[in-house]
Amino acid sequence: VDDATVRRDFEEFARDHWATLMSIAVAVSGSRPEAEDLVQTALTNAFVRWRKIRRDCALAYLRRCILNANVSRWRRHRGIELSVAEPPEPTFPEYRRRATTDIDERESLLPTLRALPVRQRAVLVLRYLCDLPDDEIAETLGISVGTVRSQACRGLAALRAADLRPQGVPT
Amino acid sequence: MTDDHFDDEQLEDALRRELTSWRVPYNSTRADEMISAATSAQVRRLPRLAAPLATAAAVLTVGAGIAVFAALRPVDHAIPAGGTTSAPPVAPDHVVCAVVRPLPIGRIVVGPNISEPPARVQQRLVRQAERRAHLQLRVARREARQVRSGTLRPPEASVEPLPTRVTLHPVPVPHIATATCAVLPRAGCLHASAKHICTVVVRSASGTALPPVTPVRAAPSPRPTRR
Repeated sequence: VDDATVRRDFEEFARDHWATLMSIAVAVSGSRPEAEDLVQTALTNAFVRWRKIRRDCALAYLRRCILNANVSRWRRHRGIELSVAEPPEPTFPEYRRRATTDIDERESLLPTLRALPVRQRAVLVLRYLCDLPDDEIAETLGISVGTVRSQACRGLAALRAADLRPQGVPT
Repeated sequence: MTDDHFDDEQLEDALRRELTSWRVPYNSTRADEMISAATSAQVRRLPRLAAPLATAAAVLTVGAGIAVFAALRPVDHAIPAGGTTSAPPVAPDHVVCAVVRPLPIGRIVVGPNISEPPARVQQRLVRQAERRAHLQLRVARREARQVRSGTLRPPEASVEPLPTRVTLHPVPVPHIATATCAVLPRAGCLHASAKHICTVVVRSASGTALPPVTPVRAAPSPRPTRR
């Protein structure tokens, strides 16, 4: 297979799944610019090894690249103070204080989800955004099925602990 | 619903709805930019052992450079005249005292601080004098109590008073042929610690020539006389 064919194949695959990869990256990173960086890193890594990647596993490979890049980004930037022009999402107390009475009118789950550990966030995103079964999530993340379930349970418990009360319940 | 919280099903539905709402619509311009950037990057996968081999080569290079530098570095602590061994290099705050050969008085070369005893030595001498004065006072009080009780006859003559200041006297230099080497914390310590000052060559760390100074030591403290 010549280089032009490989390039054409890769470009076609990347265009088909670009939106999916960006959605996953936005969900795990929480911001659009960081998501673009993650996808760009994943695409570059995948293109270098595109000859060896099976087409039926290519999407899983790219998902894994994005999640690993997100972990690397978290390790690289943890503990570093980032200056922003505007205040970020509200913190947990403010989030609870601003919780409305209707679940549909509630504020976004984004701050709560971003506060979760990286692996729990990845498990929840793969389960509820990509609708992957637990065994495929385990294969993507390189962990066991039991770990997937425990991480999902802890993530949901953390979301519940954010005191998101339904209608009629006083805060 | 459990208690006053959403149950798992509600929470899962809300989370799924939330995540789905984050879906990024396809942007052909941005996608083409990212894909072209990924395909145009001239990134080639390095061999698996490239990074460890590069690290090992860097470490060996630095080590070899240090070894060559140490081998070619001139020795700055030469052997003194008539000596048998060279003084080890020490920190600038230290001096090296090396006994090399019996020599007549006046050939003792000491560090730059030897002309005036350091403040630490002076403080020690003052403390010794204070301890002696305190001991003399205690002895005098005890003797006074014994005189009052009749167990001790009063002294006939006055006791020679103890010196409140320790005087320093010159010490003759005996001949010691054994070669020793000692590192003193300061040049002034040579006064109080060396009992037998002999042919001592004290060199500073920089190896500069130092003026000769007569060695001295503390005078023996007189013992209080008792009857």
